[in-house]
Amino acid sequence: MDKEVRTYEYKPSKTWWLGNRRYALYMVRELSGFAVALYGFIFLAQLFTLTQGPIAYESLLRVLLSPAGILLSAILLVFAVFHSLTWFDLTAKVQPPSMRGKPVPRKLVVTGTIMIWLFISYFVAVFIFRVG
Amino acid sequence: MASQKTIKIRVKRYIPEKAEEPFYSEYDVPYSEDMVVLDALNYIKDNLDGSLSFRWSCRMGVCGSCSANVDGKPKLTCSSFLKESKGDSILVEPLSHFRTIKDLVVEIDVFVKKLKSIKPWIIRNEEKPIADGEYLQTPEQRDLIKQTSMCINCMLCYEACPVFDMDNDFIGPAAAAISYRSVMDSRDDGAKERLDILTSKHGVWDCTYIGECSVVCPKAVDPALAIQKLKAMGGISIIKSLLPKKK
Amino acid sequence: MAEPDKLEAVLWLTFTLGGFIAALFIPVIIVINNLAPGIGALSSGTVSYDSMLGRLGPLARIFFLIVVVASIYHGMHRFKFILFDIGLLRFKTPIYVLVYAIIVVSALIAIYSLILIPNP
Repeated sequence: MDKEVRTYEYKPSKTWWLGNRRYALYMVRELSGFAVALYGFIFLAQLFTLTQGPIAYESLLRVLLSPAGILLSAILLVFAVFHSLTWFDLTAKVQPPSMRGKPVPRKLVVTGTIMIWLFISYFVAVFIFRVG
Repeated sequence: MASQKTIKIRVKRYIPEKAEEPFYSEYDVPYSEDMVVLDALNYIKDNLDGSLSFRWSCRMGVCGSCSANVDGKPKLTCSSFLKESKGDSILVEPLSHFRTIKDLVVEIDVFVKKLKSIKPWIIRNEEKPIADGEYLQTPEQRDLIKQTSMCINCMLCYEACPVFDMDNDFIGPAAAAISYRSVMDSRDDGAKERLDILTSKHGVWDCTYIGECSVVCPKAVDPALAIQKLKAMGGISIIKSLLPKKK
Repeated sequence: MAEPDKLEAVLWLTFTLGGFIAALFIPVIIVINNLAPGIGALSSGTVSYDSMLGRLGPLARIFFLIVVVASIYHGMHRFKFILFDIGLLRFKTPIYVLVYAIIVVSALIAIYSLILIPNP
């Protein structure tokens, strides 16, 4: 462009994510991804204290099972479930599953994914955590 | 003339030889049900203020020239009816993610450069002679590129894209969607070359799938999803190139 | 001729894989390991020191290593973009260094822990 022409430039917004409902929801979705990492750190701390003996582990466990700890777990669970749902949804959109060359109906994809997810969760509970 | 209903149009102006900063002008424009914002702008230009500058051409949502922010939302002014506005005035502002040249006219070189960089034409390994006729497609092959072919380069998706706002080098929604269309085109042989361009620095990796580009698109193109698909295709193509070649 | 950004491609593919692992396993782990014992739906003995050691056989250790590293990787990758989103893009390089350093250190702690946790 001709350098003689003067133009006006707006500064990039730092608060655009408050600009409308969808931007805000995007930010919540991203935070749900971060919440997954936060839980990763908590779980890592649990694993680490297991190497430090029962006293270290149990004192961390007391904090995690206190009312504040439970509240944190509950919040992280809500975010984690939101993360799972948005993640499965996006995956199904990017790579639409097909059977015999035909796309699988969306309803079937959604229920199928959730069924498989619940089954895997049950599997983890029974065979990894050995509960129930 | 009996009491003709009017509506107030507030336009964000920028006249570099007159003021350093943008300012607002207000106009009372005769109102009718079938008027769009572009009609109001043309009324102002013809009857009230000839100095008002804006781009337009087709008046029917095909040329992609008349993009602006209408009441804060990125829209084609030719497709925004006055009656859609709730208040008794309508605010018209230039696209803010581009430099303003004057009033509603913005500097679009930044986008045109991106458009060129993705080579928006058919790449063939071998051109067939004209005598052999057209490159034919089946309806199924055509369906794959139908939606992204609708892009009219109106740049509303760039206005909706916060990543482009933060970093003008980002390839952005429309250029990526148009390139996706070429990658998926059965007549095109340039997929590898195109994916290399799209997966380079400032390419599709910068997109965080905010998705507003697809919301504001007046032609129902879904650039956000096209970019995620390109990430998957491009990622796989790069991994393949990193693996030792069998043979 | 544009050069593909191989580093970003690998980072993104790992992020995608991590997202999948986290999406599948993190909710059930929060429920069994924290929430259910916390609210008494499972006895707190479920997560006592001895029962934790009891379930940490070789396969479970590998499983938890993958889940922990995948979740931290996935979340930190997005955290990086959250920082850019709130206007910190000009600190791109230090943010990359910080984010991936946290991931590497976490992975090392996870490997260290899962090797050294005693057998019951």
